[in-house]
Amino acid sequence: MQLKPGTRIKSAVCATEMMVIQAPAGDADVRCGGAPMIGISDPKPERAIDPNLKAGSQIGKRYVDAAGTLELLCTKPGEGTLALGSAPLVLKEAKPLPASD
Amino acid sequence: MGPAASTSRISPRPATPVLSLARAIERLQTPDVFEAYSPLTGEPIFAVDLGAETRWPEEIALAVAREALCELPCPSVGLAQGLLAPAAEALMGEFDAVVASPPELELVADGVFAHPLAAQALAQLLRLSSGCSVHEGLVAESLVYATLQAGPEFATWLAARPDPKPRPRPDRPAVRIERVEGRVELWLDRPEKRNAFSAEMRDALCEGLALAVMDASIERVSLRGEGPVFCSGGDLDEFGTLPDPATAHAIRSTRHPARLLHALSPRVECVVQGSCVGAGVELPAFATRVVARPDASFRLPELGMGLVPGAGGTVSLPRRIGRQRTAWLALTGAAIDVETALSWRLVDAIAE
Repeated sequence: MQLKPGTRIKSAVCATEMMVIQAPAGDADVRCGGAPMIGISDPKPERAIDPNLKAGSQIGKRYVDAAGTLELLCTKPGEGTLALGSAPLVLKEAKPLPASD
Repeated sequence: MGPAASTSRISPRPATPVLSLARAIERLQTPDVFEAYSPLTGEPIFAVDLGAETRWPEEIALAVAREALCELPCPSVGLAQGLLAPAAEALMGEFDAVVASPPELELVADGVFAHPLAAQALAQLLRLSSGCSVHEGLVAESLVYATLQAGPEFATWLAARPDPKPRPRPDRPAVRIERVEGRVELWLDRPEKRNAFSAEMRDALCEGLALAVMDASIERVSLRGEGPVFCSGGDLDEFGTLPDPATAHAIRSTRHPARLLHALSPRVECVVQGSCVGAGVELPAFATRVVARPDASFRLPELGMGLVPGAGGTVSLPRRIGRQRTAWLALTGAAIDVETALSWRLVDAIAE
């Protein structure tokens, strides 16, 4: 699937919805719960989540691949594990800042 | 160290000198007025009785007085009771605060005498930002806040405060994000700390607000507080933990919920309850609609700590209630009830 910043995608097997913040050039094999993610308005196939890929996602959090080429923002949480190919994406925390008081 | 650094209101202070309008206009013409009304070299407050006078001053004197009022290095307070002098109408808008009775004047003066440096900075900041955009106003507020963080009044407050107790950090986000279709609810979720606004809560709220900024399919954002109190203001346990005032300014310039709230404001509704303090007043005031529970009250406590409101309140409150009422809230530190807040338009509706 070709991804561009701003593209909205969803899981084929759970409630997860993501917005693309940054994407690698060319085709990206973004998966959730073991199944390739699909366009936001695509019909959902009849397919079950891989029970071993249920790490889940949290709304408002960002997820990245190890190389930092793909960054997704979770706009709706779900139970599937996010992955680029077979490599799970990791939660990207905002840079910590101390209190300003 | 100025004569300023006292948080005690027990020691008697001199009675607030109140000038007649004619005398005030005369005084404002003199070149030494800046020395005479300064927290360092004279009176920390310029109080004027706007009634009783019948003469109409010369136009030129009035113009000079109006300009001097805007530049005065201490807060100016107009006492407007009974029939006002003809010239009072022409000058009233330039005062930093307007009060309706002598006791109310003393309430304002209590705040000014206890923290004259913060009171001066507050008055100057509100005058300055009345001509600024929201973004410019937030920068100005943060700069003034940083200045006062390095000052003696804040140091005195910090030294007198009991040491914060270490508390375990709960294992859940400080802001809970709930989404149903195009509607997002952001819940401040530290009810055990009356939703005190900590760095952790700042970061979590910014995350939730940033989501709504990025995702245009979110049509409505509702900001709420879990528990009996919407938000009790900055987390006092964190006060004084800033790296240094310059870095603290950089932090506020980098990550500030007020900026995101303003960007989203047409989509944001806020529901508030209980004692809304500091950030608990300042942040909701950015929302396009604020609904208050009947038990809600509102106050700005920062002057009592030698500071000014620092969560965007010097920008958001004047846009709702005007500069003079914002100054009144900040200088007195007094709480207003929900009916007053509604009549001032600090909130838009009262609902169970």
